[in-house]
This record gives sequence, structure tokens and C-alpha cells, in this order.
Amino acid sequence: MDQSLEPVLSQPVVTKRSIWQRIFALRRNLTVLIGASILIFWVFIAIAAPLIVPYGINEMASGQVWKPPSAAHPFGTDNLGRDIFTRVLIGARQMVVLPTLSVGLAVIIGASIGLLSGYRGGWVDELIMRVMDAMMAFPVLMLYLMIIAAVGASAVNVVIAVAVATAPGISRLVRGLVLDLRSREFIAAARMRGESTRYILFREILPNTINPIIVDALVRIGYASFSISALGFLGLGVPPPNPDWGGMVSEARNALIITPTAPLIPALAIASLVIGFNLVADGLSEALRSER
Amino acid sequence: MTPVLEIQNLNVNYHSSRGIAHAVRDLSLTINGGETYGLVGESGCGKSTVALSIMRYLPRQAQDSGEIRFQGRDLRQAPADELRYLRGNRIAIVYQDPQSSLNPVLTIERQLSEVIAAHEELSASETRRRILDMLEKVRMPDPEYILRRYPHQLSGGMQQRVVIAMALLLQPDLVIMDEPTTGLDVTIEAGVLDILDDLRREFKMAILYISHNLGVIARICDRVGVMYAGELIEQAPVNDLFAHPSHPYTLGLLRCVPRQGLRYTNEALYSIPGRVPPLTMLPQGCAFAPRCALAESACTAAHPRLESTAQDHIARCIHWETVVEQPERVTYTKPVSAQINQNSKRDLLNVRALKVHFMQALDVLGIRKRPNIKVIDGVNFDLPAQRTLGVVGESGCGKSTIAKVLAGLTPVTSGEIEFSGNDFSRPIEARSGDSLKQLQMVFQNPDSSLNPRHTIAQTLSRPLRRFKIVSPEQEHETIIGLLRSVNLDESYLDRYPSQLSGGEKQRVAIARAFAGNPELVVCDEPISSLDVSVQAAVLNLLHDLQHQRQVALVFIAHDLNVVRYISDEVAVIYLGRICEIGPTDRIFSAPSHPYTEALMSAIPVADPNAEVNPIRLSGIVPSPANPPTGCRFHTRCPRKIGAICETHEPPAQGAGDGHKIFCHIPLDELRELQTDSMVKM
Repeated sequence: MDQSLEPVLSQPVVTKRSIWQRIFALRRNLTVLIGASILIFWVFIAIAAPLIVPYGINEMASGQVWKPPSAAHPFGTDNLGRDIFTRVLIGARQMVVLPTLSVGLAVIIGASIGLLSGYRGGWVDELIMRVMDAMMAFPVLMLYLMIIAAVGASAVNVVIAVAVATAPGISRLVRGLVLDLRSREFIAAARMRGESTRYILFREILPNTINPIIVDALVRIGYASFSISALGFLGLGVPPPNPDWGGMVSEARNALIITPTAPLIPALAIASLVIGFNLVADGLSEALRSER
Repeated sequence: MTPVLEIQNLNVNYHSSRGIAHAVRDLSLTINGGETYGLVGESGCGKSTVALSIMRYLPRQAQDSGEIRFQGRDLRQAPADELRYLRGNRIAIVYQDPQSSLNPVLTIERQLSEVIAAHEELSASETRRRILDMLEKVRMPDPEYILRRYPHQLSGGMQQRVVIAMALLLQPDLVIMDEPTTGLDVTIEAGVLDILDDLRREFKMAILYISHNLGVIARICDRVGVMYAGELIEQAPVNDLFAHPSHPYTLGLLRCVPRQGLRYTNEALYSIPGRVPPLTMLPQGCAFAPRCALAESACTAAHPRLESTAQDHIARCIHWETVVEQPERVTYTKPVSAQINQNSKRDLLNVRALKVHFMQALDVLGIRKRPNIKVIDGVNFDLPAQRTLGVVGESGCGKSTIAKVLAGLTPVTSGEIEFSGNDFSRPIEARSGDSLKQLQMVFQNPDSSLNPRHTIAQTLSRPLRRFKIVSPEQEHETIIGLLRSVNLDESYLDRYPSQLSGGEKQRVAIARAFAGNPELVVCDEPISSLDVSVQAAVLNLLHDLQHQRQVALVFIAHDLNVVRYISDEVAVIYLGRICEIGPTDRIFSAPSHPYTEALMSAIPVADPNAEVNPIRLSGIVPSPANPPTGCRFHTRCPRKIGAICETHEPPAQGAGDGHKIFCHIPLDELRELQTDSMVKM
């Protein structure tokens, strides 16, 4: 057979499903279905809350303190006679936005640190990772307390505190991925073309780390919601009178017997959000893993 | 007499989200006691699935039907405790990777005695005696000592011998060997095959030997079955199969193997076009038809049946009578450029006294200093423009390090690398953009040499842009041209590496290396991870591109026949030193360095009647942290002459034409010794 006779290869291939097709295929997965329903529910509430709620968040019904559920107040009222239904719904807004923002920020910080640390290696890596270890060694709550004590309680500061506390974990994950990727031959090929470190980090390596980062971030958003609620519970979250689920549980915990809905409903809301994020992360990680 | 193993109409399907993969289709075979049955085929043909179904180790998503009779008993119906009794006791299996077959935290003695304890009640001393006996049978040096070792303290070849000993310990009636020597160096493989050959005679057991290597099959099997896309497509006694292949696929496989003595100057290598179809989308009719030169409408219309072509010989092809009549030799017209480069005298690359030593990390407390690992320890060679230098040697001898040093990926400890007038001993970051462009590389592992997140178009456009080869308007056209030059069409542009087969990925990697019009391309084992049928095609293509674009190659491989085919000059390297270098024809004829001689005789020849050359190397490559004094090869050399080998470094003996042999034995004597024993090609 002469060389020219070798046919040009043109084979039908196993088609690669796009990421959206993959995600769409997840609808049959019960875990993801439940998780996603919960999340979609809360996002919807966060957007539509002002249209649904019957009262203002700080509207006090006089003489209506610690009322059990009734037609006028489906979840009862709190210590100041405010409608708990209204406050839970409006509270959803910050609980959807703040954890997402803080983890988003943490991913940017953590991924950059991890990329640099993993790719450079040597003493740079050693130094950065020991600092990250030191931060991770602190109990998370202590770290929050220190940061909030230093900069004061506000929505922005809560985001910063959570981002700072979350970033080291992400940097460790990304560093581990980079350590594996940088020894791949396509990185050697890029170096042989004289590519800059920036190109190698952001064009060659980063795209290959995105999937695990997304899955990890989803789990972390769940935990971040939990942390932000804990800060609210301790009175260090978003300052009153903004409706904060953690703060609401804290204020109402003594009324558990008179008005059980007052602490339970915000507590359930927190739990559902955390579970929702975790379920989706679980399902997604499976879908992304099957990609290779 | 009932056969030991009788498989009838076995079907295995894997269920996945992509559909049903028909891994094994309607397979029937029998193996008698004392018989070795070889199963060959490319990867993805269902060979290993057959092994798994016999052992009843199929994963949960697999479904099978048919009958697997072991000594008359259908294993598919056997209850779990009966299977547990049979496995290890009556049926044993040896896998490809010995490391994962052995438990790293148990001593060899413990692991071997567990096998006996699971099936028989023997006293401790009796158990020990049996184990020592078996270790001796697999020719383990100093079995007493081995018993106390842990797996990581043994070399790969030794580990595989332990696994084989473990499989044979209870003298099973059937042993399944799934590519048992594939991960080993040729020199080690030859030793393991010798042992297997003896053992099968001694124990009279039935062996199912799975391999993709026809040389190994020819060496060890009595009967052979060829599998393609989950089907048995031919089965015959080994001599008959190699002499009269009756299926085009078998013929193709046989012709793909570069025969000894084949050079690019004579002919191109035979290759089977295309690839194994995905098992979820099997074509109608004959599964091989899309790749077959004899295919006609009848082939795609109906599924061919197994036909009897001779005694004990069956083939699944309607053209079985005419298969062997296909033209065998591939005539090759030498490109004009090939002639030009014979005269090229300008040296492109000069390497002088090159040393690469790796510093070992200090131990935890930093107290004990460990010696440097001398991976490359004083290597000299030159490469004229447009020529090919082949570098061969066992694993761990420093071949790949030479590639990495030339590429600038590994720092030079001392010595000089001059590349077209530039100093290339500096790391890659210190090289100018223009000199980067002149030297590119093709890597070993197709799975990791392309970025999984970049499309093929992106992968190929990057070097064009970096090295400003063409204007942006011509870029698209140039990329298509590059793809065509490696026999791929435009449909590949938007695909991702995960949608390509290993061979296709390697074609893209070759196209990428040639995109910047380099003067030298370093190829580090570019075809060793590919199937034979694909190897030939990629090798042809690499060679064609080299001549069209007038590029020099440094071609690193462990396969001597491949290196011989493509190289103008060959360097044989052992433990960081060159032991023989010179023009290809000279290297492969007497006199040769004893190491080269041993490497050559270790290659399994794809011909059952080939004379087996008895030169075998004992032991393993010593540690480069502490290389032997004098001649580095003296610890394993079958032709060692005495103390001089241990104390003095061998001189370079010129054998003419730039052929140098680093050995103490006078050339005339070497020639005499070797013409007696070597099968000269």
C-alpha cells in the first residue's frame, strides 16, 4: 500500500455531550432533583419576597408579641410583634446572596493562591502553604470573631470574614490539582513554545481545574450559609433590624414553648438551604466526573 | 476427554449511559489440558472481558449469557462458595501489573502462604517447603531471602515471578494470563517467557494467554484465537495461523510488526487504516469491513460466519481463500528529499560530555546526605541536519532524560549542547524565541500531551501564533493543512482530545510539533503506548513528515526494530552512558556491544519457527545513584572477560564508519563470538 493510499481518517465519533446536556440529564437523578428544587424555591422566594409578604419587616403589631400561628400571622410573631412569615421570606434574600458572594470571593482568592503555589513549587509553595495551614488550624468561628471584632459587624464584613476563612481550603484543593496537572506533557509542550507563566496558569491549567472547583464551591456555599447564620446567632452577623435567620433563631430560642414556630421556621430554612447545596454538589460531581 | 475450559456462545454486554457496549459477542472456544491458548487483538477488542467472565469477576453493569464450562461444570451457574473454592485453587489468574496484584504491606512469604491456607490444611513447615519449591521453579535467585521481602523491594520482573508462583502454587488446572509481560522491559520479558515456557511443560495445565504482542504469542502458544470488536474472527494452531492467516485482520496484525531488518530506505510499514469501532455502535455485517481492503457489498450486507478453512482452522471472513494472496510487500518510493539528506554533512546538534545528576532530597532531619543520581553521566553524540538518531535502552537507563535535556525541560549538570550554533545547555526559559521554535518534541503519552480543554484547532493554532508562522488570515488554512499532513480531516477541528483515539491524539501531537517548522523534533517513545496496527501508521507518517519538511529527529524507543526502521544512526545507552553508537546497519551486525547483542536476542519474534537465542541478562539495571565501577555493564554482562571489566572504563573501539563500541573485548573476538550465536538478519 502506497502512503497516498492510506485514507484520510474521518470516523464517526462517540459524540461528546455538552455540559448543559449533562446537567439536564441529571433531572432523572432524585438527589439532584430534590436539592435543585429546594434551591430554586429559595431563589424564587428571594426575588419575589417583597410581592408576597403581607407586612413590612419592622412593622410591629401592638400587643401581638409571641403569638402562635394564626390566619393573620401564619408563623406567629416575635418578641416585638413582628410577623415571622415576612421576616423569614425577606431574610432569604441575604441568605441567598451573602454566602454566594463570599464563596465567589473565596474562590478567586483561593484559586489564585493555589495556582501560583502549586505551579511555582519550592520555597514559594512551602511558605504559602504553611500560612494557609496556620489559617486552617484556627477554629473557623474564632477566625470570624477576630475578623468581625477587628472590622465591625456589617454585611460586607461578614462576606469578607467568610471569604478569608474559606479561601485556604480552596487553595489547598487547587494546589493539589495543579501539582498533578503541571507534570502533564501538554504543560511541557507549552513551555517549549515559550509561553508565559500567566498563559500557562490561566489558559492551560485553570480550565482543567474548573469542574472540581465548582463542585467544591457548591458544598462551601452550603457551609457558608451555615456560618453566616451562626454569626447571626451570636449577634455578629448582619446587624438588626435586618431579618437574619440566625439572629431570629437566637432571639426566639427562649420562646420555643410558647411560639415554637418562631425559632423552628428560620432554623428549618437554614437547614434546607445547606442540604440543598450539598445535594446539588453531590449530583453535579458525578456528572462532571463522567466527562473524561 | 473433557476439555479443561469450554466456552460456548458467550455474550457480554456492558450497560452505560451511552447505550449497550457489546464487549464479547457469541464467543466459543475450548482449551484442553496442557494446552496454551493465545488470545490476541487490539485494545478494546474484548480480550480482558473474556478473562473476567471466566473468573466471574464481571462488574455489576455487565450482563452475560452463554456457557462457560470448567471441567464440565458451568461456572455461570456455580454458587459463590464453589467459585471461591475454584478461584486460586483450580483456576488462577495473572494480571498485567504485578504491583497491584501484591499487597504492599505483607511479606512475600505471608502472601504466598495465605494462598495455601485458604485452600489446604498444611503444617507451617510443609507450607514453607512448598513455597520455596515454587519460587525455585520460577527461578527466583535466593528464595529464602525473597520470602522476607516486601513487594516494593523487588523489581517488576521479580514481582511478576512472585505473582506467577502464587498462581501456580496449588497447581491449578487452568491459568489465565492477561498480558503478564506487557509492562516489563524486553530483557526481563524474555526471562519471564522462558520460565512460563518451562512451567507449562512441567505442570501440564491449560493456559489462556492474552496478549497484543504477536511475538510473545508465537513464542509460547499452541493455538491462537484472534479477537476483533468482541468476536472471535480466526482460530488456528499457531504455526498455521502465522503461515496461512485467513482473515484480513490477522494478516494486517502480522504485517504491522516491523520485521527485523526493515529500514525506511527499503519500504514503508504496513498499517491497518482506521480503528476498532466503538462497541456501542457496531456496524452491520462484518465488523472489520470499514477497515478492510477486501471489503465489498457482501461484507456489509450479512454478518459473516466462522468458516472452516483447514483442519482446526476457522475464520470469520467470506474471502478467506484469497486473503493470503494480498500483496505483501509495500513498495516505497523514496522521496527526493530522502536522497538529499544522505549527503547532508552539517552537524545540527553536538552533545559533549553531557551529565545530568539529580540531587536527592536530604532526609527529614537533613543529617544523612544521599548520593546524587547520575542519570546521564558523560554522553557524546552528533546529529547531522535532516538525519535521525535512534536512542535505545532498557527503562531507567536515561533515554527519556536525554529527550528532556535537549528540550530544556531538565537542567544540565555539566557538559555542552550546541544546537545549530546556539548554546542549548541552558534551561528553556533562557532560550530565545527563535531557538525555541527550532526544537520541538513529541511526547510519550498521548493522553497527557494534549490539553483536554482545548479543541484540536486551538491546540494547533497556538504554535502558529507564538512562532508567527503565518498571518492570521492563513491560519485556518494552515491548520487544515497540518491535519491533512497527519491524515486527519477538517472534522477534527472542533473536537476535544477525549473524542480522539490514542493514535489520533498522537497524530495531532505530531502535527503540533511540526507546526512551527522546527529543525529538530525530539520523539520520546512516541508510539510505545499505541496498538501495533496504529504504531505502523504513526511511524510512516512521522517519517514522511520528516522528509517533506527536512527535519532531523532524535527518536527514543525501547523497541529495537522500530528504532532500526526509522534511524540513520543508533545510540545504545546503558545506565547513563553510551555503550555503542554508529550507523544503523553497523549497529545491527557483528561486532556489537554485548549489551546490544542481549537486547536484540530478547525481542520476541512474530514467527513460531524462529530460533530462540539463549542470551539472557541476569539481574536488573543497577541503581544510577551508585553505578558499578569500570564498565557499567559488567554486573550483567554475559561476555565479561575478567577483572579489567570491573576496574577500567572500556575504551572506545572504532569499527569504521563512525561506529564505536565501548568494550574491553577486542573487536575481532567480539565478531567471532557473535557470528556463532547471533541470528543475523
